[in-house]
Amino acid sequence: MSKDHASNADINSQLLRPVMKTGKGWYLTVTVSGLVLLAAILSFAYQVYRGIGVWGLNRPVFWAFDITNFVFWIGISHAGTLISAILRVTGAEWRRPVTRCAEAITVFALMIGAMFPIVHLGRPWLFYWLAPYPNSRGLWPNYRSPLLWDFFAINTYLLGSLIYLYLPLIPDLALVRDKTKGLRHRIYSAASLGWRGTQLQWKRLEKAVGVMAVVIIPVAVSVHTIVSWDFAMTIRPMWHSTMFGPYFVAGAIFSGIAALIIAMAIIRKVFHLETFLKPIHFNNLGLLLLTMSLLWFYFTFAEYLTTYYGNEPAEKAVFQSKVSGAYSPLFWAMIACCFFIPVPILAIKKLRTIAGTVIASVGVVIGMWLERFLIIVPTLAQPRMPFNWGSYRPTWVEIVITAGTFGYFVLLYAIFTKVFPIVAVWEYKEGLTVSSQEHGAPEAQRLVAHGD
Amino acid sequence: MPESIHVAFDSADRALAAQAALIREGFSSEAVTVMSNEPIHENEDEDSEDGKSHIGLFAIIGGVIGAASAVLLTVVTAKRMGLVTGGMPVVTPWAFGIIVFELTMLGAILSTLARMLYESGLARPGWFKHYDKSVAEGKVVVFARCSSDPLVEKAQRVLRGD
Repeated sequence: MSKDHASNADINSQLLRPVMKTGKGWYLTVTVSGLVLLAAILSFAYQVYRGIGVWGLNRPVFWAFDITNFVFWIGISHAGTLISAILRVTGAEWRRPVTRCAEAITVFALMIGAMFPIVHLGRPWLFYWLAPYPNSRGLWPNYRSPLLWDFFAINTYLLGSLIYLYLPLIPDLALVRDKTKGLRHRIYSAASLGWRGTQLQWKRLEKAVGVMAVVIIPVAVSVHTIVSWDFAMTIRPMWHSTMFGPYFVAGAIFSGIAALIIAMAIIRKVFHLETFLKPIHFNNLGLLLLTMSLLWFYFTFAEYLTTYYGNEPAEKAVFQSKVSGAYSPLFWAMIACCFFIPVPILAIKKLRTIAGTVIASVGVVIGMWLERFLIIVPTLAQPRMPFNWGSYRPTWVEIVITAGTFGYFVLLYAIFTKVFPIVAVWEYKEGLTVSSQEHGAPEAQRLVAHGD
Repeated sequence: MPESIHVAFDSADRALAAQAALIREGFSSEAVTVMSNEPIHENEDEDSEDGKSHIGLFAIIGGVIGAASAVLLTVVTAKRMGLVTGGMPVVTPWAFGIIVFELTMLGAILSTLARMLYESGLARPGWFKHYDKSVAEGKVVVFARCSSDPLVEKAQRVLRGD
């Protein structure tokens, strides 16, 4: 679409429609996701009332669904800020309709992931005891602990991602401000901070977003590296690995892109944004997903092959339990979901359609959740001393809380799309202008159709 | 006497031409403001007053402050609390370095935000005095601040294109 064909008003009205009008689909989404979340809240209340014994945890498996969900959601968070920042820094023009969808994922996924260290505490209402502040109990956190590194890394990433989401949102908030009246106008006026769109403001905004993009990339990489060190800094079998940092980061980007494709497909369908979220975007993200799938498989193969060749008894026991033992159905399901299903779909151009990329992405999300589970539970179930081996089976409480996280995510995302334009209006318009000025091409996406 | 007059143009090119004409007629660049609902990249002059940004510098300064805060937080508090470390050093550069890295980045992020808000004049009262909602419709609006009646007439003449 060029500006000649679609006027400013057309672009505004189409991209602001989800904010200005509320359809039945939105209410349905909010109701269903809200009910799932409510079930999870009730389950958590039951857990608080009865104690953490209502979970399936028992010696020696003291971490399971809780930390799986923690690692999984922190991984999903890499969809947004990291991918958006990389695309911004590299000047990928096709990013424009995609970035805000992605950045919102980061913030919500981080919020959900960061809950789990608190949820899994025996007495979660005392979580503030973990924070470093002067207190009468004589408690002070030990900065050697990777869990405390998590605290700093996740909070830095969350705050940075919020700012990185908010800065490019300011001009669009001003746009909504100018099109609303009454209370909504006042709220958007406050949120847009008096944005007028002067040349000075645009220059400063672009400069700040550019600086933020550069700063946020190492923070994003550090977050999942540090999450991996929660495991790698121990000497447990199949955890004590030097490659866990990059392995986790690659897995996080992998699952993040998959989550982004699913979110974009739903937004496109529900809000009728077919004009803006085009097949080329899914094609390009599909190619990124394919690259990450191959990279993930390479890391997984390298990790398992070295364990197999090392033949160290404790490590081999965990290895066997995954590949041919009690956890093998989950392990092979993971391999299928993360590699054998997505790779053919994404590698064959005819299959790399919107539906194809979504199917591949659903597989990847499921597979990556299983991967997190398989990293954590088999190792805990089979520590170095064989007399201490155990098993784990989740209870309904853990399953409902896990389902609730997905409901919570959908709910937050639905509310976000109702309050803020989910496609960056000014960035999209700028892309059209840049495209028509530089190439005279009517389609902004033609600039960057690397996928074809 | 009006404080300022403004005209809404359909295109950025015409608005920039009007801005240039106003400056040629003696208006200072600070007195002429162009507003749009997307960035205008034509006619960008990095040497102009608008082009001088210290956001990058402040990001570095914020990072240094963040790093210093992290060193104080980790080293000083660890020593004061007398942590039991089993004979290992109380201050461990490898572990503490991770906290220092995170707080360095946090300092850079916060100072980038603060400096951007300051330099762009956001979050200040009275912004709506010099604003036209037609910007939201895609118009490019040129405001000229006038300190005297002759300047008003001059601005009107230029903006009308006489």
